[in-house]
Amino acid sequence: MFIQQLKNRKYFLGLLFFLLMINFNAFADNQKFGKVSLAEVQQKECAYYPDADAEYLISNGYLRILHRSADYFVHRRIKVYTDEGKNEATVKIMYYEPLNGQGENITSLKAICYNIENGELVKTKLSSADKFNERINEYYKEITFVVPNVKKGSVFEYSYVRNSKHLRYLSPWQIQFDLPVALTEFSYDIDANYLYKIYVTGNVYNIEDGKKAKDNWGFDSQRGTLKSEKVLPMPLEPYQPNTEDVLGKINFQLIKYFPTLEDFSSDYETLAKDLMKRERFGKLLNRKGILKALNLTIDAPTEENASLIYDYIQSKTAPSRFRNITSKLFGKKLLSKGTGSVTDINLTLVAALNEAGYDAHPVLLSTRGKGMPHPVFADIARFDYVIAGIKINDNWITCDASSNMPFGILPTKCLNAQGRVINKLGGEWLDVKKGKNASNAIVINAHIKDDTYTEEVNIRWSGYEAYSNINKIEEKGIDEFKEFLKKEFGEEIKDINIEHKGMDEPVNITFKYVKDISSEAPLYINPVKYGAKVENPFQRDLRFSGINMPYAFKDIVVYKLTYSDQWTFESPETKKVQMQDKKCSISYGTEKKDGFIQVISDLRFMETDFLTDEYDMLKTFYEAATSLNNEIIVGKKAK
Amino acid sequence: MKNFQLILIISALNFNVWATNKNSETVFDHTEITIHSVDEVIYERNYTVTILNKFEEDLNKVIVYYDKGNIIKELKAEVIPLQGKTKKYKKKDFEDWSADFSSVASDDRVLYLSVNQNNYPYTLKVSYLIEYKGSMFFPRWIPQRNRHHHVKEASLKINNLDGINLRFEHFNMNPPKKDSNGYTAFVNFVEPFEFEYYNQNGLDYFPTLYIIAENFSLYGNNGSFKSWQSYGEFQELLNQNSNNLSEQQIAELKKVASGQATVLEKIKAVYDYLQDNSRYVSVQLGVGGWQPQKAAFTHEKKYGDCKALSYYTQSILKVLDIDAYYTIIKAGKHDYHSISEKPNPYFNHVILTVPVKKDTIWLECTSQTNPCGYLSTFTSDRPALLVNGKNSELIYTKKYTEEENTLFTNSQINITDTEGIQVHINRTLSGIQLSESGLMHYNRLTAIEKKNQIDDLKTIKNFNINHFEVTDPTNEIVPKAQVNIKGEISNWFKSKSSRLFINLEEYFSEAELEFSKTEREKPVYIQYPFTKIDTIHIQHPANYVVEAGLKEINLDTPFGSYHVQQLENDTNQLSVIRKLVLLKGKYMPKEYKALKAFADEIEKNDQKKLVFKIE
Repeated sequence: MFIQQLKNRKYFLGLLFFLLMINFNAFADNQKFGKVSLAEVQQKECAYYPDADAEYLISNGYLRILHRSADYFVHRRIKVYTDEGKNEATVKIMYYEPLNGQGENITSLKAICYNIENGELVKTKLSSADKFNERINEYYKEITFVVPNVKKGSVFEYSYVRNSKHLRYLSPWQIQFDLPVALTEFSYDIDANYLYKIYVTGNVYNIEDGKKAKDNWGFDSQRGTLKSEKVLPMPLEPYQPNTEDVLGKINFQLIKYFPTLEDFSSDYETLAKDLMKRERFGKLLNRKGILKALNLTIDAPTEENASLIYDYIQSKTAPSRFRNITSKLFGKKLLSKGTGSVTDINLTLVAALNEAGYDAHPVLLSTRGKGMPHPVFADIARFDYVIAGIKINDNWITCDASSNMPFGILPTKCLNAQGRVINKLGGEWLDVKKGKNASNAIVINAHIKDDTYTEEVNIRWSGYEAYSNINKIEEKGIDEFKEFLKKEFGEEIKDINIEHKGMDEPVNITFKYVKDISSEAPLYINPVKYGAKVENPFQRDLRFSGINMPYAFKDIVVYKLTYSDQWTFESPETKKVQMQDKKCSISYGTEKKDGFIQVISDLRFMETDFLTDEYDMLKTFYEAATSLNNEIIVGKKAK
Repeated sequence: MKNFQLILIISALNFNVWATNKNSETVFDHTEITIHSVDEVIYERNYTVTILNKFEEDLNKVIVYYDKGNIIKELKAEVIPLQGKTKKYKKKDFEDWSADFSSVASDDRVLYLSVNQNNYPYTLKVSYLIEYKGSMFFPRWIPQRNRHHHVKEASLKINNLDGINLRFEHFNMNPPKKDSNGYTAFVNFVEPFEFEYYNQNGLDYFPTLYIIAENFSLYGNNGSFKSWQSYGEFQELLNQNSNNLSEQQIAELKKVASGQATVLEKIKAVYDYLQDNSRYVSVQLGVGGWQPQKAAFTHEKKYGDCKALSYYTQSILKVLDIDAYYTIIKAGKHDYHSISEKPNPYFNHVILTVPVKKDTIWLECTSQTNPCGYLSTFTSDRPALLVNGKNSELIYTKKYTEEENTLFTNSQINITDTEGIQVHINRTLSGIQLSESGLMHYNRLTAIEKKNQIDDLKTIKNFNINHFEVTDPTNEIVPKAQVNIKGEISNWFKSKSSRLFINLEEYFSEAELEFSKTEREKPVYIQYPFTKIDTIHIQHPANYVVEAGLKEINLDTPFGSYHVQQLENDTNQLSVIRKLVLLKGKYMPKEYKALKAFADEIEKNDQKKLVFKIE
């Protein structure tokens, strides 16, 4: 069946790779620029992905590194199937071109559109009126070209060369896109003076056995060709922030320049050691004078004092937009300006802590949405954020002074993947998600007296559940937050009281709900509510990427009902469901005595990351858990 | 089209009445506009604002827009922190960015400075001077930047050195006063506020002054805002030499509608041709921001922006002797009341008006997918300027009525002891109900996207869909489409249960009407009316007895009507019928209580459960 076919991920993600040692000029003749065939223009649909709006018939690249210069030759041939597909013919190429310093060049740009008119193949070339070049900001420019005469059925192709002298920061070769790719062939030819680590990332599966392809395929570091066919696109999916990671890519990472024996990071130890030697990173960490600038004297390296230093730096600095792994503005200068990058702020914090006698280090992160650092191949380009890590009594405390969070608590955006501690010894991995959780505890004391049903509710939000709500309370103000609660929990709730002391304390909320039940018979009560999970967030049948949640959570509801002997109640059964490996569980317990019913729902997610293969199980677990949380107790009154 | 500077970013649209949090406070703000001539206007602004907390996200940075016609001559800023030294910034300290990321090419740029501090309060002093080479777009004076901004006082002075005729439109403030040199305007103690539901019209909240030069200049082209007619004539003049189709191209285009008999059929053929032979690409350079590119260029290149594609379509229709008019409009779901009755330039889009016998149709020439003549919430039911030389006028685009925007749903629920619960849903959507559903272009999605979208739209809990189908929208001015879904409900833990609960809300279409506040300050706008009819048939085993059912509800109000009825027409079968009609209207705060009562009653009733006792 069709859906079964879709669910067969092997079919949909299959990528076929060959590793061949062939000459880079060996592209087949019909793959050359300008050699578009009549058959290609006549083609009506993408055979292996029939609904495609457009298809890359060819996505070829050739990277040549020679004499301190890298040339990236790009050639793409695109078939347009639908009106939407025509939009592919507006192409943007962003390139590095700082106002000061050496940038990249885009040269030899050409494009041709092919149509059939009166049975003949007609070519329309890109003219200068179709090309635009614009400065985006002080670092980047962008070329846009609009391929003319594109309609349904057209084939167009373009090619250009990107020249760069920044050999440490070569853009990866992208294999997978939001369109299907019929053929992608990529060759590289690297000057023997350079040593590059070449590896593949993304959801690349082997078509033969459906297993995920290994990343370290041992590509030749000098020369090679990678070819794959029928590469299918990847849909965007909820709970997977790192979309960029999901798409297949070939990465190039410079390790060594032989003439000077200059060693670039090849593994995480080397990367850490290298960073420690840099003027704008490691060398800053032992600078003195920040405590004095802060007007602070620290007597002993206690956790309390670390928190004090953190608070001082946090209150005196605010982050600017720019993110960079190295620091531009540090220490006293940063404190005086008040605005700096996240790196500026957190490196200043690390230096201040070191000055006060702490064992503090920068920790590199890749934030949610920016992908994950590779487990083996250290590439600084895959990090986008620096926080501070402090080791006290063998325990790591991590913090981000550019955020508004209290000491020791990271903002949610940082909870993505492992962080890398940077120190002279080579550093270590740090699980920044460890111990991070959100908790929602709801206690409902209900009773029936005469014709009135009353609930007295007490909610306690802790951890990340508290942080996000405290931000909301502070932003909206208490009155507006109460209004927000009414919208969430029902307009009838009253006597709302909100208690929150600070970011590191739980939020306590109490309110009352009263209902006249004189006309209600029978009485149906849903005991699990007020923010407990009653909806399954996983509605889709299909899943292609893994699931990455920022933190673990638990939802506990305790519902107690006391009633007079006029009433009889039926309650649901006690159940417990858990996912394999106890990654998540729910226990739903009921207890009934004379004039008393108690329901306890305890839902826990111990893990934050799930594999694609675990999706079905997770979805089923959630269905079961939310079914339990939707159970109803039924009360009847004696006549 | 271009929108002139001072782009207000209106954030989250929430509640009202409570004392709204104050994030920033202007203590001084003076703007001076000196008009030397229609070609030379100097704009000078000095302001001092205190940032009170971390939630201020606009005023904690300095953003000044410019383009080739508007040059920033002076710019400086000072940051005065709570403690410590004042920091001074000059023009060279600002970052220079492109201000328009949606266009392929644009002159719009911005100078940007982030002065974010984390120690509150701190104060920011900014002054700048811009030289405008034209007067078509005077900056609108809107001293309150966002809803959490408090303005102690702000003043405006216009030095009208050339004595040109100026016209003003003022909202939520006093009109400007005339003095010897020109005009002055002043506001003080402008309080923070909250946007209220069903009213996102900035002109209802912010003190705003439109400054309109009766005779203006744009890149050396002179025009007039004396009347809509004169503004239309100006646009006509900008357009006049753009139809340069060659004889050969005209001959080619003559074939587009060959074989079509009626005017409407010809228009449809032209629209099809346009959709097949063009695509939207935005290019906004110089006067090209207001002038369409030449028709022959569009024909040849097969791309253009809203101006180019509308103008090109007009040119094709002309080849076929069908009159059509270039029509300037303010597009956007919530922008239906942004253009006032008096001539002003605050439009952002162009469509085409084609008068047809009995009816007039409008063509959205940038869409590759719209049925011919369909406008959606983007441009329907609002004023627009029809450009037709001396006959230019303000017109109103098509309004879709509650009879045209409909959602009819038929759900068949079969409950059996052996096979669980089977559900079959048949739904017909039309007009704005169709385009807002996200299903208009469903069949253009890929197989994976289709399945994902159907799953994402599910409202029934634990519903596993095993068959789904959506028809293509009909090619009509009010398009229709049908949805057919079959599936089953996984019935967790219900096997031993003695009851079956059916949450009717999961089967009812969305009421789209919800008010949580008890008070109201601004009018309520219901712009897109509708009729929704849900019919639910439930077939159940004989041992299922209804323990709790529905009472009949009949609500007829000036805002619309709501009817619910439960029918037990056969053994082991019952039906629920719900009909909801929401009318178009603008309601003043005094009518709010009744409107809210109507909404609350719907919400309360929609949440009812149908309970079967299994005996």
